[in-house]
Order: sequence, then structure tokens, then C-alpha cells
Amino acid sequence: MVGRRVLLVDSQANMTFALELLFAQHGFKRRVSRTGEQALAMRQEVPPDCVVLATELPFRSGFEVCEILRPRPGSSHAMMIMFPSTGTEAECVTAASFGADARLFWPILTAELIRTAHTLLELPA
Amino acid sequence: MSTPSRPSKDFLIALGALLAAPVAAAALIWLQSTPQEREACTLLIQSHPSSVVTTGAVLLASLAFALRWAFVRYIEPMRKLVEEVELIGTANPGYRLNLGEKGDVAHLGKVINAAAERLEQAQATLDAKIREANAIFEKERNSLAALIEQLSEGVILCASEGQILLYNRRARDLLAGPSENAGTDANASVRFGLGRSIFPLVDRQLFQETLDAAALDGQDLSTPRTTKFLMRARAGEILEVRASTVREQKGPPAGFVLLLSDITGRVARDDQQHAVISSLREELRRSLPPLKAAAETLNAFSALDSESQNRLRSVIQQETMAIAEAYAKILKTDQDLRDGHWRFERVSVSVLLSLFKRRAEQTIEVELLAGDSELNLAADSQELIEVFTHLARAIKDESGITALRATCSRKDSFIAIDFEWTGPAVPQGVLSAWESHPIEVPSSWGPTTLGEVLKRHGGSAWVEADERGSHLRLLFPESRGGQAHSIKPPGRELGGGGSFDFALPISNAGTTLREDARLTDLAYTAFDTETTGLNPTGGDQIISVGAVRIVNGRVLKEESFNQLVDPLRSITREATSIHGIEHHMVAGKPRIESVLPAFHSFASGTVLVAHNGDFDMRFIQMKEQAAGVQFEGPLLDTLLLSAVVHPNQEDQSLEEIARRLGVPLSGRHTALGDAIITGEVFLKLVGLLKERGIVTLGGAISASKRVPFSGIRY
Repeated sequence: MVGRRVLLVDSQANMTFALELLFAQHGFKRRVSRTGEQALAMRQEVPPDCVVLATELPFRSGFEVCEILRPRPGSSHAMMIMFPSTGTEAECVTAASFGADARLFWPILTAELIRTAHTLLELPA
Repeated sequence: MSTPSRPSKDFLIALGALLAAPVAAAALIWLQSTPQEREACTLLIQSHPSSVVTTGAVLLASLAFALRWAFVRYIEPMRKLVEEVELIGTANPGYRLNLGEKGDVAHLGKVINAAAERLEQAQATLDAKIREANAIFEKERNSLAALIEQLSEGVILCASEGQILLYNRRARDLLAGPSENAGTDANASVRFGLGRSIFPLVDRQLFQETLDAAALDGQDLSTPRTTKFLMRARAGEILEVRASTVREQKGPPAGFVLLLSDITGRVARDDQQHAVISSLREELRRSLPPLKAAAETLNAFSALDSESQNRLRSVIQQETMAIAEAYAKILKTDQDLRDGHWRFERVSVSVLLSLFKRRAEQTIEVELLAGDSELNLAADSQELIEVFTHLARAIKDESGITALRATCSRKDSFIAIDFEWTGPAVPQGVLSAWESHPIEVPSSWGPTTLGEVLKRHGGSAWVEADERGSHLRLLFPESRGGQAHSIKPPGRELGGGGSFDFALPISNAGTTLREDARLTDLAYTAFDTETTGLNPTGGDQIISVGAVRIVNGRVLKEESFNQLVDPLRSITREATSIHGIEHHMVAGKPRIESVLPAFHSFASGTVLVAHNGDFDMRFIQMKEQAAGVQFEGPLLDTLLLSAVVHPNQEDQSLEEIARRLGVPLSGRHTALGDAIITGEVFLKLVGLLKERGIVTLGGAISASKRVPFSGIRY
């Protein structure tokens, strides 16, 4: 479990701060990005094991980022967890079609987020 | 009585015949006499040639004089007499003959005048009876007209092809605006009016489907087809239009009714409400997830370092504040919306309490204590009165009282309404239970509760008791005024803007301009112009155009065109002395190049009517090219038509014809005033033309062409 890398993407500083603390408590290595653009660049530098991203981001939406990072056969990829920015039903359906590995309901339950990350990365709960 | 300017053709024929008679007699005697008699006669003539010639000349001259005398004294007055007597019998019963004081014809004139007097009196009595009988019908008709006119909604009734049969002022205001000073062609008012198509103003596509469906309904008369759509009004207001088909009898729909409501205010308030909701949603969307995540993290890890704990607490603090601010904002807008809510009106609290007193009469005796009479609420008064009455009944049942005192006062920015009674107080818990009581309000959409009504009005309620007794206090925010919306009726005088024509047959609107069209079925534009002078080719210009529409035998003064025109030159003193228009009055007004297209649109689909219209048309034709329009339609001239029906009247000026036909003269020598008089005169002439068998447009045009111009004064 130790050393798993998570990339947290959301435009709201308060949100990423809370999530950072949360993942720190669970022993993850964290990186934080405010925009989709920045997230794509960071993932080139140090590929994360798991990306937790909001659907609404400045410049490039979470959906776009998700599509670029989506799993492709024969290449290793990060697990994608999307959490909705607005909580509409349409948002959930869209997230799935863009290839997210898991999606959460609005507003996210931190315990569920951690549980989902553990499940996707096949870590003991 | 004036003498005709020259002997008529009839007189010359009679004179010829009269003079030929003695010559013929002499020739006959000559032919039948013996040679001796002829010789004696020749001898007589040869011996006294001058006497014979003189005798013959005197004889012929006296015959000619006698004939002229008979013509002037009897025959010609008789012809005028016939026309004038006919006038009394038809267009103008009040007309009286004026044939001088002396002579047989003058006497005949007096006898006829006396008979006409009796006829008019008899007619007046009859008319009075008919009027009486019609009065009740008229009253009902007028009430209906007043009702339609006062509606805050616009109403337009149209025939199936779109011709307007009826409209009220509101409809005209919303779609077209006033036609006075229409200025340019862009102004929709020049195309709005009875008998005209509604489709240039309301897109047919918006409800064509409904019309088509109704056409397929066939025999089923019970359910009119209705549809609803939105469109922009003239001044940009948002209109909700309800279109319903109308049937007169079995068969396809005979027409449709459009009801226009201005929902601009409602839409704006809806938008405002929507904006408030979205901003609140946005605020919650942004603040709740970090708030929740921070709170959960803080709770889950008790071993967090104090730095992290503090930062998480600060996140919670920030986001909670943001939510609180959003809430404060929504509270403020809520009051604004309430003030502007379409169901809320600004009502005086003292009036509200008096209405409550009357409403509660059957339940409990209410005494109104003197309070502040200047207080106003933004409220649905029906709902509030219902709430007051419900509370009074509940207090009565709870405390067993029979009388209440009601008063109002100002408490900061709130209005306190107090119900006081002598007796036990109502426990606060009981009052809370009352708030869920259902309330039935006729104006409401559905059942509501006392608490909901209070909440909707931003009010609250509680009970207090002291040594003087108990009282229930209702607290409402005071209406800040200015914003208060209530349904405002147009509130102007009746009959100034709308047009009703209950007689216009739904299937007979908008007869096309064909030669065989009946004069009574056509629509007309009676017009007149004022000019800088009398010489169009010498550069004189139009300075004013006035016109009025005539539909279904009525001059529609509310559908008029009246526009001053800048002639870009001076006005002659003679012209100003006639029409009173001076240069400074027209300087800066629209130019004829832009006014003519507007007038062209105003007159489209109608027959032009003018007095001595050739004069006006010469001025107009000079400018047709520059204005880019052409007046090709038929023109009827009241001057010529009057000469058709009254060829023996020498004075064919508009004033004199109007006097003859009993048309009141008002607003003379303004273009619009003269146009209206011309229109009224024309309608009278149509009746007189019918007496002569002239009933079609083609008939009237060709009769006008046969009128000799000689001797006509105008």
C-alpha cells in the first residue's frame, strides 16, 4: 500500500486540501492539480496509480482529461475516479461513457472515496 | 334664387321648336292659298316691308321671351326642386327648399317645405320609438364593448383569412401603437385596422396547425381548437397569445380569436427567481463538497497534527460563511420578488381589515381600532382575508369568545396586525398546529395552508397575553412601494382606441378591389392634403397628409393617418391663410419621400376617396418616383360623385355638399378634418348613387367620367 501515487484534480483549493489530508492519512503519495491541462502534464512527469478528478475543471473538463487518460489495451494506465461537480444525473451517465473506472455521487463521501480507491488498486481495505 | 349662367340645351331646343311654329304655319297658309291671295299678300309685303318684318320680329321675340321666362320661372327651378325634394326624402330629411318669396314655384316650395316638416316630425316620432326599442340592445352591446375595451388583455377577432373584424385598444397598443404621426412606413400602425390582415403582425405559422386541425373537425362545434404561443410585441414586450377558432355555423371555422397578454413582467420575475435559485445552487455546489470532506477528514483522524486540524477548521468556517451569505442573498431577493409577484398587489392595511370585518361578520364580531392608516402591504388580499377569518374562527373556538378587536401599527420595517380579545390566551403550540390548517382561497391554484400563506407573505405569528387580555400578533414586511404591481386597467376614456364592428359579417371582410365589387362592400381611404400653394409643377409641395379609413359604411376615426411634412421650402401667405400651417410647424418633420410610403401602406387594399382628388393626386404623383411607390388603385372623387347625383346644383364645394347632405362641419381645413368630412360625405353619396342604380365601383367610376366639368365651382 505504501507509495501508491494519487493525482487529485479540482479547481477548488479547499476541496483538494481536504482530499490531500485524507489520502495522506491513508499513506498515499499525493500530487494536486488545479486544471485539466496541468493534470495531463503532471501525469507525464510521474505517472500516478490513481487519478481522482472533478467533472468540471477550467479549460479542459474532467471528461476530456478522462478520455485522454482512459485505459488502452497493452499499456499500463491509472485508475480513474470521477466525482461530480454538479450532481446531475446526466453528469453521472457522461462520466461512465468517457471511461471512468468509478464514479461517485455528489457530494462525495470521503469514506466511499477511499474504499473505491482501495478496491480499484486492489489494496486491502 | 340664382339664375343659371347660360341657357341649357333643353331651352335651346324648346326655343327652336317655338320659333319654327309660326314660320311653319305661314308656309302652310302660303301653300294652301290661291294665286290671287298670294299676289295680294306679296303686294301687302312689298308696300309695307318694314311693318311686316317688325311685326314678325316682335312676334318671335315675345315668344322667345315668354319661353325664357317660363324656363327661368318654372322649368329650371322645377328641376332643382326635384333634386332637392329627393334629398329630403333620402339623405337629408332636414333639408329645406329655398325658392324665393314670390311666384308659383316659391309657393310650391313653401308647400313642399311644410310637407317635409310634417314628414320629418313623423319620421322623428318613428325614430324615437325605434331608438327606444334599440336602446336595450344598444346598452347590452355597449356593455360588451366596454368590457372588451377595458380588458387588460388584447382581444382581436379575425375572419379565417386573417382580416380583423374586431379589436380593443390594448390589442392595438401592443401590436401597432397609435397611427397618429405614424411618420414612416416602418410603423406597424399604418397596416393595422378593421378589414386588414393580421398576418403581417402575427406570424400565421405560429398557429396554422391549429387552424388546419379545426378545419378537419367538421361538424363538431362544441370544442373550439385552442393553442398558445409566445411572440414579441411592437415595443419588445413578450406576449403570450392564445388563439382559438370561432365557428358561426357548421363547416370549417369562420375565424379565430387572439387573446394577447403581456407577460414581460412575469417572465422578468421568473428570470430573477431562476437567477436566485441558480446562484444558490452554484454556491451550495461549490461549498458543500469541501465542507463535507473537511468535516469527515477532521472526524475520521483524531491524531491529525494541530496545523492540519486548524486548516481543516478554517475550510469549514469559510465554506459555512459562503453558504450563509448565499442564504442572506436569497432572503433579500425573496422580498423583492414578493413585492413584484404578479398575484400580489399593494393594499392598504386598513382597507384589508375592513374587508376582513365584513368577511368575518357571520363568524365573529370584529371591532376595528384606529391604527396607522398609511400602512401598505404587498399581498394577495383574498388570501390574507381568508387567513384572518380562519384565525378569528379558530380563536373563537379555542377561547370561546364572541368579539375581537383588530388594529395595525408599524414596527420598524414591519407591519404588525393585532387581534385582541378578552379571554384566555391561545398556547403557542396550538397556534403552531393551526399553521397546518388547510385554507381554501378561490383565487389560489389549489388548497394551501395557513402557514404557507404566512410564509408566502413573509409573515409570522405569535400569541401574547398580559393583564389587559390576550392578543395574536401577525407581522409582515412593509411594502416598500414603487415596486408594487397590480393589474392596471387601461383606464382611459371608452371608445378612443379600439374598434368594434359587430355588424361586420365574419365571412364578408376584405372584398377585393374589382370593378364589379359593390360600393357598400369595399373599404376606402378618404384623404386630403394641404400644400404650400396651388401649383405642383411650379414647385409647390405637400405639407400635410390626413386620411381616415372607411370600412363597412363607417368612418373609423380611430384608424386615421395624420402627418405633417417638411416641404423644404416656404409656404405662401395665401396657403397659410387657408390651412393655418406656418413654416415653423413643419420644419424638421418627415419628408414627403418617407411619408408617401407610409400613406401608401395605410391605404393599401382600399379605394382612395378625395374631394377634387385630381388636385391632390397631381401633388402626389410628382413625388411618386422619389418615394418609390405608385398609387395605382382607383380614386373616387366626391366632387364628381356629387355632380352625378345633383347635376343641377351649381355649388359643389366640400362645405356646400356637406351642408346639403347634413354632414356636420368640424376641423375644416386641416387635412385630417377635411378627410373625415370627405369620408362622411362619401358615405351619403353612396346612398344617393344607389337611388340612381349605381351600386358598383365600376359604375361609380364611369358615371364620374361622364360629368361635364363646366359650371362646377370648387
